[in-house]
Amino acid sequence: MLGLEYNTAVVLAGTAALGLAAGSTGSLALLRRRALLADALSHATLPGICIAFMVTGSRSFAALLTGALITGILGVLVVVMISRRGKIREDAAIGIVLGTFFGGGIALSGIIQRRGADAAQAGLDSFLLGQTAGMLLSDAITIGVIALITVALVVLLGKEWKLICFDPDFAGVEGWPVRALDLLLMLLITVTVVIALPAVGVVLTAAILIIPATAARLWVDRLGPMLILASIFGVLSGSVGTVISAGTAGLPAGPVIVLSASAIFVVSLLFSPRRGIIARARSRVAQRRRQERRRLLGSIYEGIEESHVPMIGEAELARRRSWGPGRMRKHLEKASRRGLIVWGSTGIALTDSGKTLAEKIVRDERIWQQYLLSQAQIDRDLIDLDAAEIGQILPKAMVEELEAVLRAKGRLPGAAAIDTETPGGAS
Amino acid sequence: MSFMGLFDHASLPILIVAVLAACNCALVGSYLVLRRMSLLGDAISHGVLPGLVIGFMLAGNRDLLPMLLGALAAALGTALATDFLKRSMRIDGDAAMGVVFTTLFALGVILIERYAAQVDLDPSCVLYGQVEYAAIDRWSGAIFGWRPPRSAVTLAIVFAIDLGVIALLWKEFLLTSFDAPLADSLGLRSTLMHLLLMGMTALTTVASFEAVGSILVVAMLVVPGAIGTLLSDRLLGVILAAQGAAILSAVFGLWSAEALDTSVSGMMAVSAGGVFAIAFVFAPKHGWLPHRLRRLALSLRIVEEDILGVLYRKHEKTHGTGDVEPESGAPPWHPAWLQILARLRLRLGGAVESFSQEPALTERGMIRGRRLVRRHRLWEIYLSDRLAIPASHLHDPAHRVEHFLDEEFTRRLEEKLDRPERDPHGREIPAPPEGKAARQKKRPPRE
Repeated sequence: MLGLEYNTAVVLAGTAALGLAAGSTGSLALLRRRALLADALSHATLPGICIAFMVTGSRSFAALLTGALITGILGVLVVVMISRRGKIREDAAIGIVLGTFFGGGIALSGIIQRRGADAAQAGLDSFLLGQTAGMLLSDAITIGVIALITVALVVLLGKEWKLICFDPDFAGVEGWPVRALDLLLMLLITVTVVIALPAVGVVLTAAILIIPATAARLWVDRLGPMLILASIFGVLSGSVGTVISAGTAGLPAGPVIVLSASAIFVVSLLFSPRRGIIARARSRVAQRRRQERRRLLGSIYEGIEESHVPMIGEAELARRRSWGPGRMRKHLEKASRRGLIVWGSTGIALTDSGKTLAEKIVRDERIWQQYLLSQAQIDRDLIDLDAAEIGQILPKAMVEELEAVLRAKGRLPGAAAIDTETPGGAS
Repeated sequence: MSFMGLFDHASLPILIVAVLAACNCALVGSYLVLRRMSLLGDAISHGVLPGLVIGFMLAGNRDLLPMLLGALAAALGTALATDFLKRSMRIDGDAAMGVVFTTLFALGVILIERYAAQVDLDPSCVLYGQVEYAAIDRWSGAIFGWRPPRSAVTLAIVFAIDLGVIALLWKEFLLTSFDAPLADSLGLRSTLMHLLLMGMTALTTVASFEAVGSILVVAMLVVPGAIGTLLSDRLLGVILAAQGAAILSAVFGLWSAEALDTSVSGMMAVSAGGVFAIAFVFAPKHGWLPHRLRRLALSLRIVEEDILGVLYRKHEKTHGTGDVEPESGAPPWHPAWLQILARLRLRLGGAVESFSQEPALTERGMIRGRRLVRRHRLWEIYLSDRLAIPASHLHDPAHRVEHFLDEEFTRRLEEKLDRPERDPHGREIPAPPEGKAARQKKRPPRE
């Protein structure tokens, strides 16, 4: 009993270490845009596993993984060779290698099966969809040790790989051995894929590299934190998947591990503070509110400016803003709750703070309009006045110049003279 | 087994199903490869799995329709989710696709293992195909007293649908595949065509999975299409070549699988890979070998011309018409084996008198050498006059370009330069071999 638990614990530690390695190398693979190459690679290992079995005649862990490593590397080389000639693009090359090598693996395993090697065949089957339950202690230790070496390499060479991930040309100019580093990274990815095979399986191994890294990318923008977070996600999905699959009969470990990672991904997708769906929806709502408030205040100010009466009627405001009565009422209520307007039965007036804000809004907008009229050669859609002060967009001298023009026309908010010149149609 | 054994009673149904599945995938796959969507085929063929299983579980049998609807929904889900992650969440396209299809596939496997195994849906059949059952699993109807395999009927219907859609929307698919913005500006709705193609991919994947399995569908989707692009530069050519490759892969795959007694779908994928390898090496235009041969032929021609240039200039020097020393000719950097090959060809082609280090030129060799030197010097004039390149820098560019100017171009170059008589170094421009009448005053170097 105790032995079994000890065994489970070691397997768990092995898959956790695997998750650690997959998270960190997966991040680099993702940033180097090798995500789907890893998929071709993992499928390409199947014939190697079968050949190793046929040659050695035993389910020796080291032999099978060596076979996997050899055809995996071969698969990557074929992808590179095919796509380098230019006519066949990399995506097609990946598909070709994935399908052909995997087909070869299936055919070879069929041959093995029909030779009557049933017991061992079961061992090969576990490589397709992954199996942690039957994993030997020594296997788990092997996986764990290689995984830790991989992580150590990522830590050691992280800075160099960061450089070739983000700016390989610059790295080359600086004299870094880009090709050698790239090759080493590819080798690292290959090794990670190979040690993930027994637990996750040929079909899904790419996922354990891709998903934790992609999830981590949603939370952070820097490589260091991304590596750490992706590793944590990897460890989590590896160990949770192992525990669930070990506790449920007939459940292959690979899909469970992958679904655990997917769950983490979905949570990240929803709740990441800056890139998450919820945060983005909230910021979009906030932005729209701010924009509508600006429009409301701007319209009130311009109405007052034209009529020379410090108040504007609801009908007049409705004419200026093509909002329905319900929507108008909502916006007015919000603004009056913020203390920007006074909304009485006779009409709407600006409070002091509302007036200050409205003046600034209209002023910025008119300066911007004037700028576009007189000197704009840029696309006005590029600038979001809601998000920025006019002083952040245009140089100070230019703002003053534009202000002078507006003042001369009597259209500068806050300035004494008020003219009836037709306002422009800026929104 | 013998090759003809493929057409006997036991094997014919399998052959029909295998060929139909391969052709089906190849038809849609040609478009996927051309539109750089090869991996979408991969993604969809993985992603349809949960839809298939759910459809199967709801219906409780292997009827195509519920599985098809489930798979179509899953395929659409794969595509839309990938698109959403890519566009709205700004996740790198490959990674987005990888996340979506592996997740769906994992879900599908778990569904099979947990729920479907008890109701006659064999996981290995879904994953790796069981075309071998085609002979047993016959359609309830009969055509001329013969009952075709059930999946053959399905595949034939789907093939007809795919073929019909493509024939009907040939122009639209052509334009949206190669120039989506233009298609949009003409009102062709490239997004709609994209969705339609994805729907067809899903349909084809579902119809074929029994034959080739959901993972190996990707081999049949991508490989024949890629072979097609190696063999042809026209859409129809690509599609026809892909069909040929698909049939070849299916027939050879089935034959080799029966010979080796192993999985048909696996050997079909391997055969497709083999056909691809052959096309990759031998395809007339884009193959590796013809490409190397063309380059060799070009190198050989350049070396030959350089040798002729040297010999002609030597002749010019000894029979001295010009008062200026001729420029030096062939550079020493051609590999020795190429030089020997070139000299051999010159000798066999009758351009030189003997196969020695410095043979005498025959009449024919003289003409070729004169043409080359003429092009060389005219180009030097052009560089000097029009681009103001200093005299010391004229030789090298001219030496490179001289091999690529044809007669017509040279004649026009000469006219453009007002029929000069001497190059910037003061060397005489040799007369064109055939155009003696045009420049009668000039005496050709040898009479």
